Amino acid sequence: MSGWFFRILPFVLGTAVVAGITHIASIFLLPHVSVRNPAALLSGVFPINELEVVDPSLPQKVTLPFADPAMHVAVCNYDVGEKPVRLIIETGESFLSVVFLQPNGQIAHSVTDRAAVQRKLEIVVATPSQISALESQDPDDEVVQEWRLKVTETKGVIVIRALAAQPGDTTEVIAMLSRAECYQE
Amino acid sequence: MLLTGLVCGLAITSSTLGWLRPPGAIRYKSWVTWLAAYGNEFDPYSQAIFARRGDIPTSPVEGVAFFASVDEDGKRLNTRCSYEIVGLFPPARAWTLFAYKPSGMQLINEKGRSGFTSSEVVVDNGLIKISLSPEPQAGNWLPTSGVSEAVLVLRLYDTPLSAVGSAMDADRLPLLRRIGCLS
Repeated sequence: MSGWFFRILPFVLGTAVVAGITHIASIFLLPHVSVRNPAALLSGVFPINELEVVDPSLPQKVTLPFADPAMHVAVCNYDVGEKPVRLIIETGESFLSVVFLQPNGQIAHSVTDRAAVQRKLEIVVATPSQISALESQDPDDEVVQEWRLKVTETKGVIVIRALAAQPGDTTEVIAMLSRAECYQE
Repeated sequence: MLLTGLVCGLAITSSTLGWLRPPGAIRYKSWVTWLAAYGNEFDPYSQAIFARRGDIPTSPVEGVAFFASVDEDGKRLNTRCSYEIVGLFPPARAWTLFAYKPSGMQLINEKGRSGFTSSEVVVDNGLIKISLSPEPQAGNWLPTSGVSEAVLVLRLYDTPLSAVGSAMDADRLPLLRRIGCLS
């Protein structure tokens, strides 16, 4: 009995160590290798530096799991490799949020319409050097009204979600999203 | 040994992420949420769960999302069964409650309704009762059909709720009671 036990012990311990390392490594690797990365899915089908409102009445280009059906969506893939990208949204009564996804699908930043100044949400997405250039041009006697989001990766996805609390609100919410702009400066 | 270890390690990862209460999640009765689902504060298990699921999580700036795949007795939700979602809903500017398949696709039925928003729901003396059932129900009826497991997602938008850590009181979330099942 004891001879048998000591013969398989190295195998059991070795297997446990390899299993532990594999488990930890796979947990850390999964976000980088997942084929369900929402940023990768969205960046493949929506235009760059341009906003597109997802029309709920048309077949969807991408169906993300567990999406909130009451939320209407607009997507802008940004690329600030050459110039900053400006996002302008005129907010309304409906709850609205803006999520900035990194290429790995993680949320880098998010804001809601609560951050709007006089019902206008203006966000500039830029690299650290572009932000420095913008700041050097800021007038000394005026408060800057725009939000400046510093990104370390030049590409990403902006997802705007606006709530149609009732079916009758859909037209108004879609119109609000359609008025939004996302463009390279 | 190497191959056995690799297979065991991947099996542990797969089963861990499928647990009803995976690491990194916080459970309040039937409801599960991931509170650190945001940027670099994301814990590795939550990151892996979201990467495997493929959805865009609700960030804490937007609000809180609670997932329920079991009733209050811990039994898996099934579209053959009737449930009551009853009680208080936490304070929020708006909330939505929708039913999905475990894959994350909406539960479709001939009535065309798979959920409610806070503006649509009928409130009776301050109490909200929503019925998830394959059979017609009075009031807020969320019809189901077919035979599959179900997942409910309650999203609270712009909520003052401090759900960080254990600060949230589970009594502030509605109960999810099984009433009965079709034979």
